[in-house]
Amino acid sequence: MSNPTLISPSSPLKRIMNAVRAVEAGNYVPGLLSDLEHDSGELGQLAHMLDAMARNVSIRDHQLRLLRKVIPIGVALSAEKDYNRLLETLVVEAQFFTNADAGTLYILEDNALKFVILRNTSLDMAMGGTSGAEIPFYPVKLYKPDGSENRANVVSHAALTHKRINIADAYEADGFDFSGTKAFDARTKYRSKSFLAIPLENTDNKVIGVLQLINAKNADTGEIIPFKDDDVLEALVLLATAALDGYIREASLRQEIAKLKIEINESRRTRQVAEITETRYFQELKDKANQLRDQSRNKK
Amino acid sequence: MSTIISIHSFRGGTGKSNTTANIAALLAADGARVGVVDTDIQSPGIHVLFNLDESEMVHSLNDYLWGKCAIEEAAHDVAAHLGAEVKGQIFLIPSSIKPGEIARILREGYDVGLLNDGFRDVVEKLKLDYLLIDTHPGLNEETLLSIAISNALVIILRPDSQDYQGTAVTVDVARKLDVPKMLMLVNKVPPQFDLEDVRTRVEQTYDATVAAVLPHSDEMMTLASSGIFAIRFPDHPITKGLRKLVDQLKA
Repeated sequence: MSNPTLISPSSPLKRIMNAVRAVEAGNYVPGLLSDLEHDSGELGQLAHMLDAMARNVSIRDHQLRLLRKVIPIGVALSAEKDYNRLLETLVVEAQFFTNADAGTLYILEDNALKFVILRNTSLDMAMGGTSGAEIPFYPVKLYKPDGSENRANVVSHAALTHKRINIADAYEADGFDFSGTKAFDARTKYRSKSFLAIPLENTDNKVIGVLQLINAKNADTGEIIPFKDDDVLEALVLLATAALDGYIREASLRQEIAKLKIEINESRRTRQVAEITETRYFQELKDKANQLRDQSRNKK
Repeated sequence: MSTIISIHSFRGGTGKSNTTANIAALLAADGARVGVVDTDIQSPGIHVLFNLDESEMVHSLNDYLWGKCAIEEAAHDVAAHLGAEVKGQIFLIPSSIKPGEIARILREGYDVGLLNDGFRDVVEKLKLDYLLIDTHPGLNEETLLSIAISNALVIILRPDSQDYQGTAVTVDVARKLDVPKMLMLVNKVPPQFDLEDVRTRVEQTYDATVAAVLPHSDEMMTLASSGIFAIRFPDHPITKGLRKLVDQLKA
């Protein structure tokens, strides 16, 4: 009878112990012990139980994260003044829940999608938000110079059509201009593959921004896979929309300061003053006021 | 020697009556005898801040203008209504809040000259150190008169595009009336604004002294018309700002 413990180079018991530690550390990959699970002996049963337990732990982790992350973000939204930081948290969490390698948040301003937050985990890139780093990329215009809609770009297409775009592989997709993406990839030796672009619509059904996630990864193998629907992502999209709305409102309030200086129409001012001061009543009043002041001065 | 101070804003809703009541309370707290006249005959309101009930109103400014009473008979001692003891005194001359009387004065008008005599009389009879005039928004005849006879004018505006143009006209008109002292008060500033930046911009725009820039305050909103803010919250930043304004009025 063959001894199953001799199959692997390291001792199966040690591997099971390592797997337990991985569960503890939160980085257990399902199927880690799949070869041991085929074993009919007690160690195989143990590996099988451990794997099942680890999967349950991961589901509970997911729920806990929903409870501990998404709900507090919602609460923070009602009190938070630093929308920039909130938006960054939302992008990072959206990446986490979809297991996406990269995430970008755009704001719609002057018919162009301007970069607000950019994160790429494997390239170790963090721009916008609390990073302090400016994003050096040009905004994506919604319209071409001839005035027609720019649907060639994934994010502008999403903003124009109010529809989500889910692409399995950018390099194979038809109808979209991924030239900017390809240039970025060439420069950074990256490979952008799966895309999910979600238009962020406010309560008036107006698109105020786009959340784009890139390269969803299979949690087990690390392989790039297409994006799937996710309840938590839906909650994050709603929160991101509310946070972006707050961000826009705050920005427009800040701009009002400049209006203090520019809002006076000088020619109208002159005319309006003249309409009052050139009346007979005003002239009489002025004379009388001077007289009264002289009187009180004399009294003093 | 008494000082007549007009408190004005070109538009309504700037917190004019509220500011007037608070200036009065702070002056009285310093021991002054202060008179307050509500010349906002069309929409009177300052009596509410001084907690003066309609049933307590013996005579109003309207009665004086119709020759029914002497001006000092329309003056109500409201110092006891402040909710805290003050050294000085406050006499309020309210406008009538009876709809019939408001309608009558709007319909028939009145002799604006009588207002001037009334102001002089009340200062003398009640030995006032200060007479505060809560004016009607805009620039009608009685408002122009109030400004013309004042030793000091406080112009209130909010950081709101609707306030800028009219305020500019008010500033120019007041200059032509040679008001000896003109101070601006920027009120209800939203929290997103930098108060010093607002001050600089308003001073540059109107070429006038900004005595205080007061932030929007939830406490002020909650208190609304049910009391005098400076008395209730003596250490609040808004009270400190109002105090600065009062110090400049006294200087």
